[in-house]
Amino acid sequence: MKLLMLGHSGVGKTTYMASMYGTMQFPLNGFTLRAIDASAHVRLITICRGILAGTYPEITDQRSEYQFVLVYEGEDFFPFSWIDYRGGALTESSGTLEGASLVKDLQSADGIIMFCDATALAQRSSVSKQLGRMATLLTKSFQDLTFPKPLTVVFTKCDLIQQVDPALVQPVQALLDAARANQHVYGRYVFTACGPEMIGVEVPVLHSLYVGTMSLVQVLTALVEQSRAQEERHRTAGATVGGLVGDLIGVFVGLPTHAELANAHSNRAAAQLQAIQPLIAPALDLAVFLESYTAF
Amino acid sequence: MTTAIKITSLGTSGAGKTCFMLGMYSAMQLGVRGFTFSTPDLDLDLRLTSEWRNLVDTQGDDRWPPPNDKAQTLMFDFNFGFKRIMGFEWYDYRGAALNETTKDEQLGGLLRHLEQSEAVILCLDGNQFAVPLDDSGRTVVGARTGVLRMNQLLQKVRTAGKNPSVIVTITKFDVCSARPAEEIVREIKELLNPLFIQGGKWLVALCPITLGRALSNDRLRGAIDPKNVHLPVTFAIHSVLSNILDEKSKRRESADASARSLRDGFLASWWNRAKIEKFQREAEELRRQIGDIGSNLHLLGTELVQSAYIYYDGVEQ
Repeated sequence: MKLLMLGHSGVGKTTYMASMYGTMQFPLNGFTLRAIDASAHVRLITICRGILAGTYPEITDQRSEYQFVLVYEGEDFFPFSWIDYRGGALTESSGTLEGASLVKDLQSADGIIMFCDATALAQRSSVSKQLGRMATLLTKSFQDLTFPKPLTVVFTKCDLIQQVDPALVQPVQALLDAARANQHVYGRYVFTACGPEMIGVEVPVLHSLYVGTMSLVQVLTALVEQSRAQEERHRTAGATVGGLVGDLIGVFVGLPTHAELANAHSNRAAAQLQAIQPLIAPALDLAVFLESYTAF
Repeated sequence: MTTAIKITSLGTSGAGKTCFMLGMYSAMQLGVRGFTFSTPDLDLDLRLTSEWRNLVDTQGDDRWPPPNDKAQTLMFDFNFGFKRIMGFEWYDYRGAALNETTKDEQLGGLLRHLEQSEAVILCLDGNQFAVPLDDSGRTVVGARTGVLRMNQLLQKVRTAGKNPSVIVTITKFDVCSARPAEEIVREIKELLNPLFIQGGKWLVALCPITLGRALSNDRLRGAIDPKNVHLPVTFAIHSVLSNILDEKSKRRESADASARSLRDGFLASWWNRAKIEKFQREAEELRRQIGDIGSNLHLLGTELVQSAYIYYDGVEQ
């Protein structure tokens, strides 16, 4: 699964990512996070320690891609990649290297995490500046969707505004309505703060991976149903006179009988069902954790 | 539903066509009731967003874009739930071209686009309606807003066999907001009389729009806060979708009738079963599409009835 962070320069994407990574070193409902690359782990932990002490990272100067694994009860559960862009890339033309790369990533990403600066949204004047371009990029990412795709809207710097309440969402409400109107977009928003006290930082990654997990369960369930339908078809056909005659002829030319084919599909369904089993418990735990955060 | 329609805006230089287009795009980037605009070309989005930012951030004369000196065609997508319902092609040109002769290149281009348009947006400068019009005022405003020329061009379009919907936008409505809207509507109906006569079969919407109420006091420093700028294109799309709905309904009825007629007679259902199934599948698919279009039309209609005056064949709807 590939997750893409979308947000303007200075909105706090890198700060968020390091905070999320640092926070998720400690189990949360059985979940932790692991970076595949040891140097990425060291880098993110160092940045997170700085944030906890009140020192924030420099603005990202280029696209970075991190490989993570969501760990459940000590076992690797869900691998995913995480793309961090220089905020300025959002306003670069598609002719530049980074602008072109962003368009490509938008279309191939399996989930989008969109960042809005809560302090800027609180001053309504800069709403269109923050959101207009991002809305178009979201459209690019969601326009031809045929499978579930998570969208998490992250309101950053909520510790710097006087009151965090649903009114903060109002400037992006139209965008949330558009997302809600698309049956394939699974949305959730969260108010976050990154500093000595971390608030809501686990939600975006866990929401995205929850949708990813449920999507996988959906695909596997469809395959199980398909295999069972095939099994049923062969059993029914094998019980007819025509089927029996066909089986007899088939034996002579080395073709499998209807009963053998039905058994093969039955075994396949069992294997697919087995692949679903390990996903159930983490998916339920993720659902319980996310329940208190507003979905759209 | 992947049709692309053509929309032409007509207005004299300074009527606010370009600013209206920028405001419309900015407002609809975020959208209304799940409907949004986007541009297939991300670099065009970048340019329009940046021009709009300049309008919002800059104070003084530089905030308003200079008059267009060349024509350009802009492609937009109209989306619901981020999915493209329909594309539309917007023709932006130098307003002064409206008063050129047909031999001039820009008016020639404008006419070609106009004759292929499914919707025409007339931009009338609200400044011209700040005070009530008497008989002589009507003549002056008719010339200043270009409505005389607009009436001629629309007649030409009708003669060419096209029947576009017409959206009359009163731009800069902030400057005439002190007057009763009904009074201004009456004056505009008089100026654009051919569009409102019974038997003319014109579908017309009147939409007052503004880029910010505070602009009436200070156009150089007043806050930009657009109102109703999304309505003209919403109406255009609504009228095109209504036509598509009618056409699909007719096709569905025809498919149903064909399936019914093939069933008539001894053994006919069995003999024609493949053809019957084909017509039934077609009717079913059309029923699904009609359902989708119908729900979009309902949402768009809800948005329109709140702020636009709509007329068909001279009668208010």
